[in-house]
Amino acid sequence: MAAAEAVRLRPGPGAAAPLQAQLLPCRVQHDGPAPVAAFLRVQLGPGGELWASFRGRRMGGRDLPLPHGYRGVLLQEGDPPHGDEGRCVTVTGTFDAIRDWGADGVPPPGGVALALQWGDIAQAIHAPVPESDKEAEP
Amino acid sequence: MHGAKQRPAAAHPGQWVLIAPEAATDFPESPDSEPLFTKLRNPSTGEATLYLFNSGAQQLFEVKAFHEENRSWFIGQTVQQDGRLLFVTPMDPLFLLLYYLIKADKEQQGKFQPLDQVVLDSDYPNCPLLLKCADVKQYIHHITEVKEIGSQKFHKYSQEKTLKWLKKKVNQTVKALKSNNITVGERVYAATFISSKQITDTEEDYVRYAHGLISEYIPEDLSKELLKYLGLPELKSPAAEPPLKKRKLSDGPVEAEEDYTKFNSSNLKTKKANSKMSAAQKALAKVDKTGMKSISAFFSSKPKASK
Repeated sequence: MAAAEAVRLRPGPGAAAPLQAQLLPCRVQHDGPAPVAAFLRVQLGPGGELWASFRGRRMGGRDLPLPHGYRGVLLQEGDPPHGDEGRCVTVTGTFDAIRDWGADGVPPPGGVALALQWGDIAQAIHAPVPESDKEAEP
Repeated sequence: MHGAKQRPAAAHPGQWVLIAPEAATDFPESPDSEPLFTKLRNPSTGEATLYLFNSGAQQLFEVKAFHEENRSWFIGQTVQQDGRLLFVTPMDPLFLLLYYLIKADKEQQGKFQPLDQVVLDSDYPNCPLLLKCADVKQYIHHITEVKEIGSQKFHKYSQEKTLKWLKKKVNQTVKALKSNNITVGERVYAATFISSKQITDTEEDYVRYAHGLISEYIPEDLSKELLKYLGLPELKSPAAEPPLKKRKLSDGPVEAEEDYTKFNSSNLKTKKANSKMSAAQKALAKVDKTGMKSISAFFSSKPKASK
């Protein structure tokens, strides 16, 4: 039987410009190309905030940077190289921020913005502990 | 047309949006040691969970999914229905070794053994890759007694050392919670967690919260021992239950006036029934405010008509 179930991660065609990753406050029942720039015309509000309308509904946007040292990738499942049994996913694009859209206004506190803080917390939980016996109290 | 593969003819190949530390997705020169997604035994639930080894299995990462209902992605000029964000974060491989060390200690009556005889699992054939991780060689002595005979090292699980190690983990987690301004107290319902954090979080609140987070990575027995070791009594009152139970799954996006602890999205995916959750998992459900869930399947898409 083939080696243990695993999915390899392979590099894609190569460094293209980073993509814009936008998370909508609604479901779109489609997978594939779409004229995003035509659907979503973004305007800047007086205070520099982002506005757009989609399906007749106003949305407020906020750009969220990724945690320090993180990169965003788009993965697509591809055919494994000939002769190979295992599955693989390929990096087909990158992004370095997430534009979070909220219905009727800027997304409320929490959500993706809070989730992105997980990077820092995970870093602390999983970092090696200090060698010294003195358990430095926080 | 490519040769016949099992993958169903999809209108659009599976696609996922993922963020990860750069080290996780750096590619090697040779194609043999590419990063690898694989399932390993979850240190808390014992269930198959998805992890990622980076190139050459030098580092381990866990893969979680952030998921709010009714969201989709626009990426560049494409649409992706599935609004999940996969989040790859560093994982201390020692957490995964604990199960095997504790098991060996029970079965072999405290015999010292080489790691490669202990870290074996017929359910998870890739688990020996854990021993390649740099952090294992360097830090294993935090959880084992070590004997060196010639050039070989022999290990035996040490609960005492492990509790000491876990307490240090709790401390560094508390530091990160504070510096990230995360509100941890149950009784605080912060309308805006970003500005003017309510100063009602006690030190005990932080330690409990950190204990809850770390309990996701250790067996339940050890979680209980750790609670004692930290000098914290077990909380009997289910005070935190009501907010989660009252939460309803709405079709709309998140409302501003609701308690932000609702981001624990326990029912959004078909998960194991709540009754299977260990006490540690339930404890985590109370403290995990990020709505991030472990993944048990390889890149499954939402069930479609074709399979």
